[in-house]
Amino acid sequence: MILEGFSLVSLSACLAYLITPRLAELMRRIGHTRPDVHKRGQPQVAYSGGIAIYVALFPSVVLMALLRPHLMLHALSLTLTYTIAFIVGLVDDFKVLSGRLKTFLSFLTVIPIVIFSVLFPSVFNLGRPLVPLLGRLRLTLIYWVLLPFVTAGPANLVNMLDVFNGVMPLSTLSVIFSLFVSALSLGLEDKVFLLLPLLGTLLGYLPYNKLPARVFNGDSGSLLVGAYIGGVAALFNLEFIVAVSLLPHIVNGALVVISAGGFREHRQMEERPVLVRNDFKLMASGSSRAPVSLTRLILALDGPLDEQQVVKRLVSLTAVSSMLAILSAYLIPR
Amino acid sequence: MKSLLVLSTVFVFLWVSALGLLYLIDVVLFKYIEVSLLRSFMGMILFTLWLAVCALFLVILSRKIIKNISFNYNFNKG
Repeated sequence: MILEGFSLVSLSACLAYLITPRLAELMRRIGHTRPDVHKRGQPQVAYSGGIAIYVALFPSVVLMALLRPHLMLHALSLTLTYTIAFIVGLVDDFKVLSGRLKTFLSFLTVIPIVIFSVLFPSVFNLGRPLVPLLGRLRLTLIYWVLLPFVTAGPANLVNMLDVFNGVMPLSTLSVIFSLFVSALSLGLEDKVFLLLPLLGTLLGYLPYNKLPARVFNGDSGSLLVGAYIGGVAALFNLEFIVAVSLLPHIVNGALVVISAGGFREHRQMEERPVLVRNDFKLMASGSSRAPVSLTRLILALDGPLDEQQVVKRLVSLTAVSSMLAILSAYLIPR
Repeated sequence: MKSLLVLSTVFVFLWVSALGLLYLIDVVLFKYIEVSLLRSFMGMILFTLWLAVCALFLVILSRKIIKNISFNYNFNKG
């Protein structure tokens, strides 16, 4: 079992490590780049790194399904879920969508999980979330109302915090780690295989996205990874654990949506929450019209910081929330 | 590092309040209310109320933090 898990992680990591620089080169050649506004000279960086994540992830998920045939249906529904998120993100990367339309389209990611749970009710045990103190809940109507948020929520939240080099892969690796430990502690040893392709892919992709980034994730990358995590949460019945480990993302999303008065693209915002000084240190905007974000709060509390210092704080906060998530798993009655 | 301390405390507070809500649901709803539909309905109301209180708390806290931004540092430094 350990050998199988290791081979899955290795395959996806190697694929991501080999594919990402080639994709970055291709994107630069076709001029699909974005300026890195937090760096001196604002260098152009290859965009849509999500394509590399998607390409590396697919064979690993197939191998996982072959190694664990009883997870075949789970793998298929998960693949369809993150493929929809990837397509929505890719369209947005090349042809900018409005914030509202993108959010609406991300809700489509729940469709495969709903269809599979209707077709195979004995395999997909949805509506039974595991929560601390109470154990396994038995939600009927309410779960189906909340289910679209289980996949679309993480997708959009991960996308909203994907603002600095390396934050997306590092913070989601922390979430995956907490999910992995929680699932093991709850006796879901076999299902953790569903996490391994994403774990390996992000490990192989990270060297190219960490500071200084050679490739940006784009919405294709962040929506895909968020939807994958949300899909796994629904399949594991670990929605509460994922919600706790995504606390920094949730707080950031709530602050932005409330202060901006709804779902808006950053391009549509009149003022930026964070300003870049001439020495390329970041500082919080003092304007009352600028939206509030987690980064703005960090800078308001700590003063001007360089990008690396902000990334360290954001990742540390995800580590704190991941520890709370693991603690939550131990509070679930067995 | 002040931000790590403040925001980690906020996360712990939100987490503890969520556990408190679950405990309330366990003690009040699951023990005294027999009807499943009423349980779900009451649970949903409590959950929505908790979300609203958390959102209000975050808004008040963030406004307080941003009000205290020091403008002593020079924008054109460097």
